[in-house]
Amino acid sequence: MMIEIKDYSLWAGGKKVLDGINLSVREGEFLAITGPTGSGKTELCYSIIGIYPNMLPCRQKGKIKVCGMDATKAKPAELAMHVAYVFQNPISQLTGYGMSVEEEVAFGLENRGVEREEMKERVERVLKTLGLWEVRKNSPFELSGGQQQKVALASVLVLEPKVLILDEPTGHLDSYGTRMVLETVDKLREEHNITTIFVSHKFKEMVKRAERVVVMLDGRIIREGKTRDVLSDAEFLRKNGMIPLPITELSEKLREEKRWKGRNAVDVEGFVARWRERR
Amino acid sequence: MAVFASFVEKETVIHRTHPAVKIVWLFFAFVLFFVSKTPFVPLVFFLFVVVFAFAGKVAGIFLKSLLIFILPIGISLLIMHAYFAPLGGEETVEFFGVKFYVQGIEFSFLMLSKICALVSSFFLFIFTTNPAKLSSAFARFGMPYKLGFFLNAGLQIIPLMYIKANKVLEAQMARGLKVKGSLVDRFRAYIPLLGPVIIGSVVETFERAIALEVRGLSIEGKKTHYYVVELGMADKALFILSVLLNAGLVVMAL
Amino acid sequence: MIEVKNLTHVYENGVVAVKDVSLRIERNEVVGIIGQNGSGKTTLVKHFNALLKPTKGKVMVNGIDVSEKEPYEMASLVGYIFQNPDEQIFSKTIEEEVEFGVRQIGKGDSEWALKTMGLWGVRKKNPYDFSYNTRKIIGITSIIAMRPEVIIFDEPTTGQDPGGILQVEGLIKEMKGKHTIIVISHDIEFIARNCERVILMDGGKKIFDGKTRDVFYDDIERYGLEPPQIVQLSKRMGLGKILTVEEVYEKLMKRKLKKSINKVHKLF
Repeated sequence: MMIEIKDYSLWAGGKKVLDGINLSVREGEFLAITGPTGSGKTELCYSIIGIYPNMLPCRQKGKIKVCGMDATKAKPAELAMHVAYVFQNPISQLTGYGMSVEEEVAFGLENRGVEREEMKERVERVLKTLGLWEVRKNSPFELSGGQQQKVALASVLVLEPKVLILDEPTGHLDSYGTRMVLETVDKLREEHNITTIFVSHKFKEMVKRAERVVVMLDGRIIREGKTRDVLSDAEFLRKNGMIPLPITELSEKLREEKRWKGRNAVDVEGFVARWRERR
Repeated sequence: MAVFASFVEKETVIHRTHPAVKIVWLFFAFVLFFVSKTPFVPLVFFLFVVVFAFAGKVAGIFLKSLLIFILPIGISLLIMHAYFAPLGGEETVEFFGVKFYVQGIEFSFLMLSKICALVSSFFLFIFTTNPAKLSSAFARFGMPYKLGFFLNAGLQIIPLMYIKANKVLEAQMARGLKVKGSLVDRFRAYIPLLGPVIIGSVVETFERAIALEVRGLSIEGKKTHYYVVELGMADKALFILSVLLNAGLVVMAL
Repeated sequence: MIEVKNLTHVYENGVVAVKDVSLRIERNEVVGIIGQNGSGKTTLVKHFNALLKPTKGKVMVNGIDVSEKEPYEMASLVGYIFQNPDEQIFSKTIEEEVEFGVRQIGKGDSEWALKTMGLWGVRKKNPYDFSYNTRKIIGITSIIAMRPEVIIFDEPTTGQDPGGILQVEGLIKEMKGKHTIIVISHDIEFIARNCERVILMDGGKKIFDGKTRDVFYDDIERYGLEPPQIVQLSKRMGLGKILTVEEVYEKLMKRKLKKSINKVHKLF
């Protein structure tokens, strides 16, 4: 197991923000975490990378093991050797104004004492993969929001982490940028078997990649299961403040007229296949 | 966009000069600030810096930034010392029917010349030094990595806040905030900026701190550099020349 | 209402963000503007309240030439809701924040706005006591309180959870027919649900401009955009130009009916 969380609770800012979390993540898995704002998704991620308790005051109970380390005791820098985290706001992750894109991406490698030749190679590879090679000498602040997010992503991907946590990474990206970023993550999973945790509201992307999804509400995990099972449950989603995909709503509506049996569809292909089967 | 107080990318002799050489000038500007008794030497120093600014093709933004900074200080100094003259003095002179103390004028002028020397060298340094290369240069001088990094980061807060302030200004203008007009109007206009800029910068700084940790800022052990800024023969020569020249200036000032 | 004639905008650094765009937006239209990052959407729209001035061409709002106006002069006519509420909120209470714009332009109704957006009960609280979602709603409230004729939403769904998105949709539905609404968004599903007309920008140029239905059934994939799920489904099943779940449902039910009728016919 890459990540093992047992009976983990977190108190911060005077209240209980996580309550009895139990979660295991296998190596190479693509896990989606979703839920309304304030459900504790970010706090959970921060606990995994050691921001709680090292950078924010809190009280913790239970266990979190990340790549064999105890995340409640290890320093963020130690955990950083294996886990990479990408924020929603790209500007927060850039080190400052004066650096160019390639310098920004090289930063993490510099901190680890990677030799120059290898550094240059890795930086070039990542920049080319994300389509940033042409703008490598530019300042990230001159680029559009979507490109900035790609730079932020590049700066952590270059570290070749074992675990990648993406916290709403495509919030500021258009569909082209979203696809680009996620396709890169796909490649990394193929080549390096990277474990990915994808925190998002974008069900379409989850359906394509996540085998499993975890739904959080008020600091608790209220549901966990196969992505298709969870995201096709329109009633459950609506009851807990989430919007089902249009295709799911369509299946639900047809079910009311007894024109649909079994699990609702979550994507176009699934719908078409099931609809044709009925003939 | 030419952002206030940040590196301006250009290909000039000044840009290519090793940061260590520039640090020498910065250092001596500090020394002159404390030892100069007359405005002559600081002004000569200042003239050198202005020439460098032109050579570095940053004269435009350099002079503009300088003016924005120096003008209010200059005026306050004159009013404080030449008009109110807390240091006393007997000689006075009249301009447009107003009495000014000569000693106060001399003092203001001296202070202003020192400030010009200091501030101008600081600005030139920022405009012509690539921050990434700066970190590397600091490291070569044996400066602890984290110190060098945070010094650099500190320098970069100004342009970052400037960018944020612009965005906040747009948002408030779109809500009817008047930013042109009388001086009072303009002053009142800047109040709605402070909160978002400061809070926003604080939040961003905190998130950035987390992001830096996650990229291994605190990892123990050797750090390497993407850019290696070697001290070439020319740089070494310039370094020695700068030290000698500035030492000479200091001696003259004493 | 809003007339854009051969607008070109070139930024200080030489980037041509908008190239020779012309369009007209009539009163009370609900228009979505889509396109990839860097396509010129925001640059175009920032001319409407004089935040940007044309490099070439003209932009007129209600007959007023924006190149002669300052943003604060346009604020009572055009309300611009920015993407990031934290770059705007500065007051100690929600009430003060919402009243700020109203006081600046000397007109508006903050009480109505607070009540409409469900913030009346918490109006004395500090905006930063609440989540980003809520702060985004506060940002919206502060603009609609000024009751401008034109309301621009710049990425209203970014950073919002579904609850927040539904609230914004509810607001747009309520304002339909009473205000001219312009929505810039990446959220294609949101645009499909709320806008009657869509403008697609790419590389600073206006590529498509027409009824949402027509634009989405055109080749928008070529411009890096993914059509809404319903549109994809309809194309796959040959159902015609439909946009909503209800319309697909009707079509599929009709097909079933037709098939049943055909079956019955065959029997006889």
